[in-house]
Order: sequence, then structure tokens, then C-alpha cells
Amino acid sequence: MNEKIKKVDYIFSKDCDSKDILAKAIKRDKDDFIQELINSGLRGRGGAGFPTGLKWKYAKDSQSDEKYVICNADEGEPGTFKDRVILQEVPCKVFAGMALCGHIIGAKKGYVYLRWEYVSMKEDLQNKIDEMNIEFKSINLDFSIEIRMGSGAYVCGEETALIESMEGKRGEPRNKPPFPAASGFKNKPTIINNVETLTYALMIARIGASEFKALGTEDSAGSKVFSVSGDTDKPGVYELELGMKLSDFVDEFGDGDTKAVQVGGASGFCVPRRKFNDTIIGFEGIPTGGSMMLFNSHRSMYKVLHNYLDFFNEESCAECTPCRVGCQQLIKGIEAVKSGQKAPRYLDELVKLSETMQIASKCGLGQSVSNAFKSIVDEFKEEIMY
Amino acid sequence: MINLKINNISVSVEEGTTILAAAKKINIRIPALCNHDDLCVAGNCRVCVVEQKNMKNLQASCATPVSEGMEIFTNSEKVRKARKHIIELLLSEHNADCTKCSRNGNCELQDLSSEYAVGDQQFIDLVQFHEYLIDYSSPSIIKDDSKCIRCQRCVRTCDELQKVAAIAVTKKGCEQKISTFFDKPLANVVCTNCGQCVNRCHTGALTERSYIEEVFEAIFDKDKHVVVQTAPAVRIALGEDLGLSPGVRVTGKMVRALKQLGFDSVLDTDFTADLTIMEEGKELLTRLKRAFVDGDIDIALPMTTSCSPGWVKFIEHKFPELLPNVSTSKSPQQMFGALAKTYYAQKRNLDSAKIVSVSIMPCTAKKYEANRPEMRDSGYKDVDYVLTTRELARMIKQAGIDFISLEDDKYDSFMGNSTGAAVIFGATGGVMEAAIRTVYEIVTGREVPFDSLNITPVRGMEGVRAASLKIEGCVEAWKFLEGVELNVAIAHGLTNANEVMKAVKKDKTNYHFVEVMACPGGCVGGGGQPIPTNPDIRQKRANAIYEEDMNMILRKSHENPEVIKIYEEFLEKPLGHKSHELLHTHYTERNNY
Amino acid sequence: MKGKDEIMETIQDILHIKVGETSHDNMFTLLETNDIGWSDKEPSMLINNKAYTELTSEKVTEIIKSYLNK
Repeated sequence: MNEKIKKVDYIFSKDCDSKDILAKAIKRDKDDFIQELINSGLRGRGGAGFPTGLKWKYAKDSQSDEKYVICNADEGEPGTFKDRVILQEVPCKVFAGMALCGHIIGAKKGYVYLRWEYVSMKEDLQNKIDEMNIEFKSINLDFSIEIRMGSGAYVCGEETALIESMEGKRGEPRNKPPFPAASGFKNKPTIINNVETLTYALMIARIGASEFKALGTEDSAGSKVFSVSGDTDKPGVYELELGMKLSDFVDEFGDGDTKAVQVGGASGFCVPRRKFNDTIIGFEGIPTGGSMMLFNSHRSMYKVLHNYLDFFNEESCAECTPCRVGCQQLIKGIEAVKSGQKAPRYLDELVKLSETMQIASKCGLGQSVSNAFKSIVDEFKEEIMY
Repeated sequence: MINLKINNISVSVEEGTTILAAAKKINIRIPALCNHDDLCVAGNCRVCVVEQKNMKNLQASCATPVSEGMEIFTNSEKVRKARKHIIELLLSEHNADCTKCSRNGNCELQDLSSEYAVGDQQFIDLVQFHEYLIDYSSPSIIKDDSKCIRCQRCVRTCDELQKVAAIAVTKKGCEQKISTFFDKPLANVVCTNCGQCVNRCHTGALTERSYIEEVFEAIFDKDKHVVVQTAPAVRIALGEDLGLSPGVRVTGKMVRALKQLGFDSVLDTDFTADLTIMEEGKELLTRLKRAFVDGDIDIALPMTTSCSPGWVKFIEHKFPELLPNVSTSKSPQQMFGALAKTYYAQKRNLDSAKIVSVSIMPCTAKKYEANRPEMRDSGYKDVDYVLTTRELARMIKQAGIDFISLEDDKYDSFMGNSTGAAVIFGATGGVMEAAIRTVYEIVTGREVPFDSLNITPVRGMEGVRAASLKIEGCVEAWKFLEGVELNVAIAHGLTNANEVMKAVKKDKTNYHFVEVMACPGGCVGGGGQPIPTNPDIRQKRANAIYEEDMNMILRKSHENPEVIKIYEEFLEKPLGHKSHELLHTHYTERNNY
Repeated sequence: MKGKDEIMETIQDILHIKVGETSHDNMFTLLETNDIGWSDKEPSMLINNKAYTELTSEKVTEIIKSYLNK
């Protein structure tokens, strides 16, 4: 691997015992640990990037007889598969991370919300959970974990839609506020963290904030697990330091003919070759939940865009107007421009429409459609038009 | 109190108030489609988005509570652009055949698009890419998905207000729609036909099935004798669709208008409402006697009312094991229908086959009720056509009648006379009050011990109300009721009915008699009433109902001279043989989806 | 992105069904879905929740035959 990209090994390293880390961590002062988590700069690894320590603090400070920890394993972003690999390789770390969170915020119950497409992993995970539930008891930790299966809707990765789904309702996002840390599952304070975030929280208990924060940048501390796919010779999962330049990433993973990289999946941004040098992977540049998809010059960006829009058009919960109708209009719109039924300048109207979707949609799904749409239309206008 | 600024105007409101409500307080109107005073917050349509200072994204004002120091802009450049886009998007998925639509002129989407001057659609018409089937299966409600803008008011109405959930959101993405269990036709699912969804639909996606043409055809047919009956709650709401404010009583004008429309006889459902009290009251006393005196443990108590057809269908679907509790008395509409083609025909010397019986109801479920196979006891279809308040207003407009300037007129006779007890059937608690006025007097020989006969404990808009009345000083025949505490309950809106029946099922109540109205507020808030209907409007209509009662000379059902006469001439006595034949019915267990 | 269309064609040919249809023996229903979490080993499919990855026409033919012969 080229030296400009730093590969690290926290998540997948097997030289540590999750139970030991957990046992030590729960002996610490809770506020002290939350402060350490805040100091570490860890932000949610699902894509939105909310500071994890703060989230835990809110949930801890919420007064309630019951609280919950939910591990969001509804990994549905196109091009993302790192949570699957984490759950296959180091499930106990994830579960210990959940237990740690439960201990800190005062929750006794944890749920793994596993996407339906991963149901084949359920049995193995259940066995591990059974073991861990016993381990928790052995260190006098009143915490247990259960698996809940998703039903195959992308929007259920959105935390309030996930809660609705867990409550047996249709997976549609709630109005916020209140946020789940104040009122979530069964209207009780709930922490919903991504698989990777929970694992990092446990790792920070092990290595401390300073070692973690030494990696990455000011806004994007530490490292992150990336899912690399597309036109690359090395598809797979890699844990890399945050803040790298996209050009360095492409040097490492590209096939020599990379024309664009979709950073962050369907809800992320498309970066064209001419911007590789100026693009930083992280919250100061382009953040990602992990998906890095490379396209070489044989790819039609019209098809790529159409695919993403199809995806949103199917996965929108269709509750709010901008997202439901906007997605349909964007698809029909680029088709009409391509076929000549609408003038090329109609694309400008569509870009404006996508901006409305961004600011007026109810949840992150509709709000992020414009990311891919604008970045692809802006950079590959000719491919879309002709 | 929370202090905030909206369009630079300071306002203080209570914590928990939405931005939308705070704006309303200082007379700033924010358009909102999915919002409704009867329903929970949804935040679906996004038409009500506003800009909050220092926030990148817009906020749905109907769904966002105020916070201290908030600065809101309801008409900024960003808001205007987004709102216009959203309205255009809604129109692009809406089959905008406005000139042919029954909601033309009373459509919130139409108003909004004209307000925002959404002229030539810039976006692509999406209706063409979908295959829409119009569901005509129900005799009450037509569902046309091509008009639906997915605000989900109907879904929330059916679930929250009515606990029926016959319609729900299905599928996702571009295939999302409002549908039924396995997309079955409305007629085959748990729908109670209450029409509350119709009343809350912005557009023509859910409308009542109209029979105006059929009625006009009958009127113009010289061979036919067309009788019309009008329900109590029509007279206090009809004016709203004809240019008057909510709560204005138009009984006399309505009667004159009906005569001008050409009905051969304009009669009153209130007459059979009085009759219902005689039958139902006697039925209640009989059940109490069997339970208390004969010790018959199989007697189903509490007895519930049966005049609301939405309620009847609800219990048939949801609590079939409690069907024995439902009074066997037909609703006033159906009693009227059965008598129109028997008693009335005899008295007027008419051929029953040539009588067309029409009713004007605040209700869509009445259309279904009239179509029930068991409602043919006269040998004919007892009620031929049921029109809603809204349809009557439309007929009056079509006929070019200047409604507001009409002189009052009086109902025709035989079956046109009524009492105040019948009028109050139109408000929640009214049937109970009317029943108590009569039953108490039968049992004790004295008037109910309430000021001006107004039994206020059973009135009001509380969802479930319970009251007790100690019976003292009984006449000889009813001595067994001496000292008995008569426990009654009133529920309106099927969600409340559901709660009461759950308790009844678990045997956790001490009620003897329960009044249930399917619609919130009772018939004043019926699914066939003018649109809009909301808590404020329902209250005004209910007030008008009680005013009407106070203005009547006779206010107890058993004092209605025509009622006394019909028993003498035709029916003999309450629960008598003839009554059983014509005025009572039975119920059917139905599926629970 | 990596030859899904070809795989779909192969499956449709073998089973004589189109997307959304069920084979005569009621054994297979063919549906398209969004991202099953195997983008590193595309194209991929699920049969009875089991993931098959890095498919080729030959591979998919073999897999389906193995089910048919069960």
C-alpha cells in the first residue's frame, strides 16, 4: 500500500479480548468515559457524523426508568458492506461496545437491528450473542442483547424509521425533535449507533482518546472502515486513517483509468477526476459512511445516475412530498432530456428541484438525493444530455 | 412561555406549541395540507415549511415545536421557492381534471395552486405513468387514487379517530399508495363507510357516492311519489354549503327548498327518531326487567344504541361476540323507510311500488345501511336513495334556488311532526338524553329531575362520558327499578367506542345503556356534512342542535302526537308484533380486516 | 454494474420466467433488489437468503441446476 494512505488495525485486530476491555471500562467513572469519548472526536460512522460522545451524554442525562441501545446493522447504502464484514469477523467487539454504551447511559437492553439481506448471518450472531449475554453476567453487568430483523427497506437505516420498524409499524421517519436520545424506542431514551461506531467506542476504551485523535484531521479524528468496490482490482474492506486525499486513494485502488469516485454511496457525492487532488475524505471534505465506488472511463455516468435515482425512487418511504415526487421527477426528467423531449436547460430546473428536496424533505434520505444528482449533473452534463 | 419571532414580529406562546400555531396567533397564515385539527401531526406534505434563522434546512411548521429565541421566516425567498416546488410536485402526481371533479371549488389543493399561480406545469405529468383503478365497490365511498396526494389524512382518520384502519399506506417509493388489506375493494374490507376520510380528503380522491341524478329522475317521473326525510343534523349544517356560517339553523328554509325541488312530500326523520326512543326505550326496560326480575343471565347488558350505521358495521367487524348487546331497533332512517311504504302509503292511499323514498343524511354510512338486504321489510327497498348534506346543497344550487332569501316552511304531515328529543339525536349524547327523558317518565310518572329537561351530564364533547341517575318513586309496573342507579355511557368516534367495548367485553363496566355514534361529535360531525369539519365547527353545530331543541314546544318523544297516533292506528304498542316486523332488525358477524 | 444484465438474462433463459414472475414448478421467483451488501464481489444474488457472489453466466447456471436437481 502506498505510504500516503495509512492502513490501521483497530477494528479487526484480534489481539484483544472484548470482555476484558469491557470489564475494565465499566469500572471507570461514567462521565469521565463520556468526556474521553468526546475528546476522541469520534463521530457516527454511519454517514451523518454526529459526535458519539455527545449523543451518549444526552441519553445518559435523559431521565427515564428504561433506556435502550440499538446497534444499527441495517447497512443498505449501495456500495457498503463493511458492517457485514465487521459482524462476521469481530462480532464480540460490537456487542461489547453495545454493552459499554448500555452501562454508560443506563440501558439494560440492547438490540441489533440486522438488515434482512444478512439473515444468513443470524444464526452465527445469535450464538455469539448468547455467549456474550453470559459474559455480561459474569462481570455483573445487567445487560442483554437481542436480534431484530429488518424487512428490507433502506429508509429503516434512518434512526427514527428504524425505531418505527422495531415497534412493528411501517418504517417511516418521525418528525424531529424529539431525537431518539431523548425519546426513541417505545418513547424511551435510545442510543442508535452504527456497528462500526460501537466498535470504535470500545476501541477508544482500550487505546484512549489521544491515540485515536492522533490519527485523522481536526474534524475527522481517527480512522474508518471503507468498503471499496467498482472498477478496482482490490475490492474489499479496509480500515484507513481519515483525511486522505482522494487522489492518493485512487492511486492505491484505481485501475489506472478512474474517471470518477462515488464517495458515500447513493446518498454521497460523485467526485470527477479533475477534483481528486483537492478532495479530502472526511468531514472537512467529503464524508462517507464507508462506500467508495470507483468508475472508469467505460462507465456511462448517465447510467450511474439513473441507477442511483432508481434506487431512491424505490427506497423512498414516500411519506413526504419532496422525496416521493421529487425522485420520480428527477428520473423522468433526465430520461426526457436524454430523449430530447425536454430541452437540455431543463436539467437546471431539475438541479433546483433537487435543492428543494435537500432543504425540505423530512429525513436524510430525501435530503441527500441532491448530493449525487447535483455532483453528477454538474460534472458530467454532456453525458446526461446526449 | 416561549418567546420567538416570526417574520420579525415577537410572539409568546406556551411550550409545545407548533410554529404553525404560533404564526396563526399573530395572524400569519402558513398554508398546510396534511395538517388537521382532529389528527396527530404528520409533517408529510411539507407545504408548510418555514425558514429558521441559522438553519440550513427548512422546518415543517406543523411538526416543529417552538423554542426560545427562535427566529422564523414564513415568506423568505428560500421558503417561497421550495413551497412553489412542492405545490408543483403535488400537482404533477395529481389527476387535475378539476372541471370534472366533484370537489371543484372546494379543494385545498386547487386553492393553493391558484394562490401560488402555478400555471403551466413545468414538471412532467406523472399520472400517465401509473395505472389507476377507481374503486366503485362501496355504495358509500368512491376511491380514486389518481387524485390522491398522499397527505395521509384519511389514513390517520381511519386509524386514530376510528380505530378501523381499513385504509393504510402500502408499498414504498413511486409505488406507494393508500390502500386496503391486500388491495381488496373497499366493500370487502373492514371499512364502516363512516366517511370521516371523505370529510378530511383535500381532493377528490375520496368522495361520497352520489345519487343526485337518480333522485332528480324520480322527481321528474310523474308516476312516482317521492317522499323525502331529513335527519336532525342536516338542518344545522346545510347552510354552511350555501353561504352561511357554521351553527346557523336553516330548518324552515331547507323544507321550503325541498318543496321547490319538487319532492311530493317533505317529512322528517325526527318523527322516527321519536319512534326509535319508544322502541329502544321499551327494549331497554324489557332487558332490565328480564335481568333484574326474571334473573335471566343471558340478557345482554349494557344495551347499546343502533342508530349509527357506521357503529353497527364497526361492531359487526370488531366485536361480533357483543352483537346481542346492540338494540334491535332500526335506525330512524330505516324505520322511516319501512313506514313510508306501508303506513304512509295506506294513509295517503298510494301504491307502495310507486313510492320513491329519499333521505337526506349527514352521513355516508346511511347509503350502505339503505342497501343492506335486511332493510326491505316493507316488501320493497325501504329507503331508495340516501343523499348527504353536501349533495342536498348541490341540488339546491343546481336548481337555482336562492337559499338564503327563502321564507321558512313547515314539514308536511303524517310523519313530519317531531319533538326536541328527536332533534338532539344529531349531537353526541342526544339519543341518551332523549331516551332518559322518556324512560324516566315511563318508570316514575314524573319528568326527569333536570332544569328545563336539559340533562347536561350526558352532553359535551368528551370522548367517553359516563353518568348515573338514581330512579326513585317508581310507578307500580316498574317497582323493581326502585332505587336503582341507572348507569349510562356515551362514546363518539369509533376509537372511543372501541375503548368502551373493550371494557364491556372484559365485563369491567356497570353500564346499563351505552350510546355510540361512529363520528366525532355525533351526526353533527358526520362524514356527509359540509367540508371542512373540525372541533370548532362541530361545537357550533351542536350548540345549534340544542337551540333547536329549546325552541320546540314538545321535547319528549312520547308526547309526539303523531307517534301516539301511529301506535293507535297501526303499530299497536312498542315492541308489538307490527313493530317487530317493520322496526327491528338483526346483525351479521363480519371479517376483521 | 458488473454484468448484472447478462446474469439476469441467463437466469431468465434457464427458468423461462421474467422479472417478477414465478416458475411453473413454483420453485423460483425472480426479483431485482437494491444492494444486498456484496458490492465487493459483484454481481451477486440471494437464493433463500444465501448469498452467491462474483457470478458469471456459467456459475449462475450451475447454481440454479444444483437447486433444480435437489
